[in-house]
Amino acid sequence: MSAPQPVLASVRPAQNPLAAWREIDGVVVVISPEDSILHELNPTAGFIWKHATGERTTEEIARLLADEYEVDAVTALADTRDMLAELAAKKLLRLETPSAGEVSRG
Amino acid sequence: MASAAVMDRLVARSLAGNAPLNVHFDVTYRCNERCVHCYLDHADHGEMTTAEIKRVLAELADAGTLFLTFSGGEIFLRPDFFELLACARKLRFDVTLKTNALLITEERAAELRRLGVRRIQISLYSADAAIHDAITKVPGSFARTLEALCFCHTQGLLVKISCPLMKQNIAVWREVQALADSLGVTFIMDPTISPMMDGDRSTLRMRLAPSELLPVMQAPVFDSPAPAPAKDDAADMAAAFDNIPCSAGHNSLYISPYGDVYPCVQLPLPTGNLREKSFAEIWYGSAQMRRVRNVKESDLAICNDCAIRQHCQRCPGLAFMEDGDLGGPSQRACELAEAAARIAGVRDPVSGLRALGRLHATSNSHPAQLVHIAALSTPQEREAL
Ligand code: SF4
Ligand code: SF4
Repeated sequence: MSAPQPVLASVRPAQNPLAAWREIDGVVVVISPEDSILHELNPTAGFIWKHATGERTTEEIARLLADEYEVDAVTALADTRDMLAELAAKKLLRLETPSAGEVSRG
Repeated sequence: MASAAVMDRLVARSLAGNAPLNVHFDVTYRCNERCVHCYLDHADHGEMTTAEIKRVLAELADAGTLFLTFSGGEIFLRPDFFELLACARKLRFDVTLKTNALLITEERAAELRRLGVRRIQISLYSADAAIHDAITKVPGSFARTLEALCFCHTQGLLVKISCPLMKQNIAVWREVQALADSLGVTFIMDPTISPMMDGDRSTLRMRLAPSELLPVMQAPVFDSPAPAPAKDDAADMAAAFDNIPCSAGHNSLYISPYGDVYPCVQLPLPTGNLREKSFAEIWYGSAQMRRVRNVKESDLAICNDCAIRQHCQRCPGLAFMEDGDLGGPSQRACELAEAAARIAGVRDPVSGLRALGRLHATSNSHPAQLVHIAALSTPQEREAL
């Protein structure tokens, strides 16, 4: 399987506004608007999904993930990037391109 | 992950925790058609305002509703309907619309798509304009509905033709199905004909007797086997529905244009009004909602001794409408169960009411359970999210 596009730490992921979703009994489910598939997210993916509001950067979400699950920052960032790439490949998320200034800081 | 298995688990979780996963919301009873079989009082007796509905939608989203069906009456008669839709989509509901589509233009169909409406169910009574228009009592309605249906389909909305079955069109349902097939949209039949809201039972004259429904029940559209869920998911689902009659009041509910909350559109037991109480107060706190939740399959006195129970799709709403007993059998369920048993090869099937000598040859009750036969009739239906 080809590796997903790496997600920049400075990217601000945003849920696809056409997707429908809910958290029910602690489990996040998302319906993809493209193909009507109902996705059930695992706890990590669900956590990342809920914070992908277009306001936080990937790095900031990874930091929240590290705090929540008590993992080290490097692992949290790698997990966050992988998960975001996977959700974006399913068109559930948009990876907002950061501005030039943000890229240089990222 | 297969969508059906995920759906099974979602339903199981929502039932276990009484999350209000499915909401059927009638936003108006007004209509621009006057269908011969319609049970609604089309006058506006004080519909909820835009602000009131938006508040209710926010409460539903908080409580965990995912699947939201806007229905009526004719939903597009509300001038604020697109505002309500935009609000619902902003709250990330999965929205389905039920409409006669008369007011859907090409631009409006595009707007529905832009807002992220996924599914639309459109009523069509016949593939013959004369029959359809005679039922709706609106000349030209067939052509307009069909044109709007095509606008929606072209936009990529998942379109389903709903064909309410009655005496006027029982002979032509196959042509409606053929039309749906030729258009590439899904199809569902609905034999529900109810008395009118004011108690007028004249609409029941159009309702089909079990003997008339038998050929329909035998048609392949009713026969397609359900896709088998994965073993564990099947177990989850079976456990979730174990001992409860149906989803009404457990993970599903109905809201009227006036803010009244019911366990199901076909279970007219008022549980509270959203102008007086919050949704959470009604859903979690109402004694009537608890009454519905307390009905256990194992407590159904007559049905538990019924020889043909496996052929029956008893509807608590139907039982309640017939004699106020949520846990009782019903004339219509017994009649239809006997018909279904005959199809399955049972000779001289005897339902619980017949065994007690209480089964009358009547079709004046409410055939709600056949909706469920219909709802399970196509793979698309069963996989519908
Ligand atoms: S069985 Fe009857 S009450 Fe239950 S969900 Fe179906 S229609 Fe509603
Ligand atoms: S056929 Fe009648 S008695 Fe038997 S289970 Fe159904 S409703 Fe109950």
